[in-house]
Order: sequence, then C-alpha cells, then structure tokens
Amino acid sequence: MNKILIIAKRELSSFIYSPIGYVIAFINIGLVGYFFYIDTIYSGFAGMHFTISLLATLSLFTMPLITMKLVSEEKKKGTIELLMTLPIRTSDIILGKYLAVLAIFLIIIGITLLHFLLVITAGNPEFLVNIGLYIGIILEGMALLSIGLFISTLTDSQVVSGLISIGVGLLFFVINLLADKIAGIWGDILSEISFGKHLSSFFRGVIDLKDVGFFLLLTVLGLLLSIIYLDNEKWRK
Amino acid sequence: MIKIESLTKYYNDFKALDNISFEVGQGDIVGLLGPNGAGKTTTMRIMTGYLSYDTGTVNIGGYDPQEKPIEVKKLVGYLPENPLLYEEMTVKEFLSFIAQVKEVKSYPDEIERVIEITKIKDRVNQIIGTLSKGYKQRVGLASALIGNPPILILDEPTSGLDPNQVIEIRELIRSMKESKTIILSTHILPEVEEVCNKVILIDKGKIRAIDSIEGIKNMSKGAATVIIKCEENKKATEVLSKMKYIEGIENREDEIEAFIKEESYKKEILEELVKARVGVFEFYSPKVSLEDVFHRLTIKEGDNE
Repeated sequence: MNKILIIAKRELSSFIYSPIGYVIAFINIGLVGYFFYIDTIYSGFAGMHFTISLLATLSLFTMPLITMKLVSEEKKKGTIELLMTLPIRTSDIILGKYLAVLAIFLIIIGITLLHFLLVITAGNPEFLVNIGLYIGIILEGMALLSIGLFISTLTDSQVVSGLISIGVGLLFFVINLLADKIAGIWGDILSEISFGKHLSSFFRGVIDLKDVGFFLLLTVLGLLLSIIYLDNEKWRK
Repeated sequence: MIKIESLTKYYNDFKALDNISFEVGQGDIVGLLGPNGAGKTTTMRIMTGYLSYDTGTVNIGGYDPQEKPIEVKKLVGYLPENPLLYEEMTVKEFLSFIAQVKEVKSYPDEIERVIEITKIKDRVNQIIGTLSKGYKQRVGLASALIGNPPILILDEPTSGLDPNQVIEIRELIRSMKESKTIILSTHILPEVEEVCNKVILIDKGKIRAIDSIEGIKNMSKGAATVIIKCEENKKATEVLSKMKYIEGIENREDEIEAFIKEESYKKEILEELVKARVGVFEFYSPKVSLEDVFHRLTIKEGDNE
C-alpha cells in the first residue's frame, strides 16, 4: 500500500478517536441542515446557494479545527521523531495528512449533496450555478486545509495553530474590503488574493480558470512550504 | 557496519559533538556511556538520520544518513529515550502501522514475531495510552524490531523499568547479539558491564575512551582512586588540591574521593595529610570498577574548566 495512504489512514483513525471530529461534524451537519430548512425548504428557493455560502464562511472556522493538530500535536508529543526516523519521505507524511483532512472535508460536502438531491426532486434548480457553487467551495476548502496544515508545522501548540489559521483564512476572505479602498496596483494585488473575489465567480455559476488556478496555487504552496519547513531541522529539539 | 569519523555537531553556537570518531562492527553491542547532556542522544539521532551534522563523515551500513536518509532508515531500528507511540491506537494497530510504513512483506507474521520476542502478547488489543511504562517500552522495542533491521539504536532502553523488566530487556538485547549491530546509550554503569562488549565513553561532546570493558578497567591500572575519611574535610581538600599527583577530587559529605596519577603516590599523600593534621581515620583504595573510570574521566574534565 502506498505510504501516503498509510499515513492518511492513520490520521483518519485518529479523528475517530478524537472529539474534535464529532464537534466539526455536528457544527456542519447541524447548521447546514438548519439553514437549508430556513432558506430552501421554508422559502421555497430551488438551489444550494445559501447553504453553500454558509458552508464557505463556516469553513474559515471549521477547517482550522481539522488541521490544527496535524503536525503540531506530533511535535508536542514527540511522535514526529518516530515518523521521521521511519523509512518514509517527508512529502509522503505531508501528503498523507493532507489527504486525510481533505477526505473529511469532502465527506462534509458530500452530506450536503443529500440536500441537493431533495432540491432536484422537489424543484428545478439551475445546474450550472450549483455545480459552480460546489467547485468553488471544494477549491476554497482545499486551499484552507493546505494553509492550515502549513501553519500546524510551525508550532507545537494546537491552539496557536488553530487561531493563526483562522486569522489567516479571515484575512484572505475580507482583504477585498481593503482592496476597494486602495487605488492603483496595491489595490489590484489585494483584490487578486482575496477569496471573496475568486469565490464570487463560482457562486454566479462562472468557472474561470484564473479562479481555479488561484486556489490550486495556494494549495500547492501550502503543501510545499509544509514539506520544506518539516525537512528543515531547525525546529527539532 | 557503522563508521563515524571526526563528527562535529553544533546547536547554534553550542558544540554538542566535538570531533568524535568510532566504529562498530556486526555482532558488537556497544554501550554509549556518559552523563546526561554528554551528547549520546545527539549522536544517535544523527545515526538515525533525524538530525544533520556539521562536519565529519557518518557511514551507516554503507550509506550517509544525510545523503541517503531512506536507505539508512531501512537499516536501522530505533528506540528513542521515551518510546514515541500513538497512544490512541491499540498495540496491534500501532505495530501494523509501523510494519506497513517499513514495507514489511506479510506483516501480520512479522508482528506476531516481534510480539513474541518482546512478550506483549497479552496486551496486543490494549490501547497504548493505558499501558504501564514497562509495556510501552516493550512496544517501542517491538516497533524498532519490526522488519528485522540489522542495526539497532537504543536510547536508554531500560530507563523507567522495574528491576524484573530491566533484566528481561537486557536478556533480550543480549540474545540478539549474533545477528545485529547494537548501540545502546545509558548512564547506568552495571548495564554496560552486563550487556555490552565495547564501551564508548562520551562526555561534553567528546569521546574520552573507546575500549572493551576490561580495557577500560585496565586504564585505571597504575592510576588509582583513594577514599579519605577525616575530621576536617575542607582542610584536607585544600591540601589535596595543591598536590601535583592528584588528578581530580570529589568532596562528598562524609568522605573525599581523590584520583591520583599512580598508585605509588599514595604513601606521599597520606604523609602530607597526616602532616597537615586533618585527622585522617580512614584511607583506602576501592576495587576498580567501570564506575571509577567513568568518574575519573568525567570529573577530570570538569576540574579543568
């Protein structure tokens, strides 16, 4: 079996033993179900727009909850030394951990497909817009998980890792508000790195390769930085 | 199997290892002996590929851990000082995980083998976090043995174990002598005398001695240790510290231990002490043990600073 999958499997099983997995599932399934009822069932809107928008905002808080312990806990408990003295590449460790949290995220998204199924059965939703919504939220989640993973390599405190990840995610989300106030190239740059700007196209049903590229670039960057940092031994005691 | 030459390692400005060199062959059980902070764990971590080094060469089974870390890690079974285990897993789940990462073929059989060797059969389905320290140590050892690596690096393998467990682990290490190269670190001197056939004495990042147990003990022949009990310890220490044939002094509450260059100087020392009227009522040389040599070599260095 591929070593990335072995790490992912162990990581997933650690979520089963940890209360955090259940807390995240409860927050997501509970809140998403509640707002789906309010917005779609009660008001009769045939689409997932409100539900997915809510999930996109919730992800800023729930994704760091998933990623905060990935490496920081291993550093705290010392088990990172165990991993790094086994015949496995650092990239396999990082990719395995990433794959595990991505799977959890996709399960959370997958659950909303049941809601979507209800919408299809009862109404006549705009397919393209809804597909755009799903692609957008998945790409946003991928980037947030990767950033969170990198931040968890930087510290041995889960709390610090989680809080910084929430802060960074929020910054990416709201930076376009500042971008609107700044004229010239700096305003353009801030606007280009804002999650809001790139997500808005998806939420209109427009799938632009530039937006896809932005989230994928962030994802790859987070993973690469995680590998580079973990390989650098300065943090090892 | 293991060859280390002129190895130096810095932690920022602190020189943790200072130009150390040694070789370990197959069938050797080598004791890396030294006080806390001597550089034992750093040396072991470099050999496992966990830490890098600044200068020198490290050869583990034909590979440099900095250039071919994966190859080195395939050859080495490592037990860190405090066994590092995923405490939420059961023993069997944990060992399966290690075996899969080590790409052991038919790993269920291999797990059975190490469970048998380390005598943890009655705990295989128990959550690791609920195990006693002794059992955790055995699980750590079992994980190091998975895949039957030719080199074992064991950092304080008996620390925290009860006397019966210590005896069992030592027997286990001895039983693997023929087929493996084993390096174990310890500051428990009887452990070295019981288990190892070679000793590397390390202190403050430097190697003080490399020899067989007997060879190390022989280093003290000619030289000697004397225990002095007297009424005025402070005055006696002052007198002793002025003598040129004294290599080191350790002043304990009720006695003074002095390391002298040659046994023949004992007479002069006693005469001087009597002359100084410090009230000597006991003056004798204890039987030379590994502990004496260890003391002599480490304390001597401390006095020079």
